[in-house]
Amino acid sequence: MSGTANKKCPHVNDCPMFGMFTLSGTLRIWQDNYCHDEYARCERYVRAQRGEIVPKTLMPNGKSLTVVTKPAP
Amino acid sequence: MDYLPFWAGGIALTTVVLLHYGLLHSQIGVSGRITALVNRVRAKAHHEPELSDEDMLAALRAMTASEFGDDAVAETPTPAASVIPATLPTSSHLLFFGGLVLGGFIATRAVSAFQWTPTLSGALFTRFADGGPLAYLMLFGGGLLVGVGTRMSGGCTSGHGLGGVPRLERGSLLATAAFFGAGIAVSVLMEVLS
Repeated sequence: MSGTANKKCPHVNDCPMFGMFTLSGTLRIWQDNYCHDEYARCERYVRAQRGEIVPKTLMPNGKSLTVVTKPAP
Repeated sequence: MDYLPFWAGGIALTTVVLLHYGLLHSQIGVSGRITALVNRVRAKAHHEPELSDEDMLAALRAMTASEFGDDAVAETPTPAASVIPATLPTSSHLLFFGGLVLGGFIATRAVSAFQWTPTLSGALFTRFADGGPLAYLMLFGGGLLVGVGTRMSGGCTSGHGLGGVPRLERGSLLATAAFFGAGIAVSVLMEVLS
C-alpha cells in the first residue's frame, strides 16, 4: 500500500452506483473522481454517513439521474 | 464443544474470500450484504422504482457527457468485471446467509454430534448471567453494540478482518486491532472478575 493512493470508499461493496460504473469503461471516470481518494465529496457517501436513504438514481455530484424506462414489449 | 483445527478454519476462510473475489469481483463482507438487504427494503418502502441496468446505463452516459464533456464518453474499453451485475439480486444475499448457516452446521457435524441447545450455556457467560433474563439482556445489548460499531467502522469482522487486513488497508487494520483487542481485554477482565 502506498500512502493514500489506494483509498477507496467504504461503501463500494454495497453501492449500486459503484456497480453501475463498472459496467462500462466510459463510466469509470466517476469512480476516478468520486470513489477513491475523493470519496468524501460524493453525495451518496455523505448521505449514507448521515444514515439517510440514498436513492438509487442519486449521482455522486448530487444530481439526480433521469432514467427513461422503456415500455414493456 | 469441539472445533476444527485452526489451520483448517484458516484455509476454509481464505478459500471463501478468494472465491468471492474471483467470482463476484467484490470483497466479502457480511454486514455489507445485510446493509444491501436493508437498503432494498427501505427503497421499496419509499416506492423507489425498479430500474433496469440498461435504462440506467443510457441515463448514465448522458449524465457523464453533461458532467465531463462529450470527449469523456468516447468509448473506453469495458473492464472484465462488467460481466458481474451492478447489483446482486436479493436471492444471492439470501443464498449467502443460508450458506453461512449450512456451513456452520456441516462444520459442527464434522467434529461432533449435532445437539440442539436452545440455551445460553457458555461457561463464563453463565457465571455472570446464569441463563436468566439478564443473559438475554446482555446478548441484546452486545448485539446492539456490534451493530452500531459495524456501521460506525464501515464493516465487520469479515469485511475488515478477512477483506481489509490482507490488503493492508489502514482503516481495517485499526478496526481489527480494536475489536480483537477489546474482545481479549473483556475476556481477561471477565476471568479476573469471576
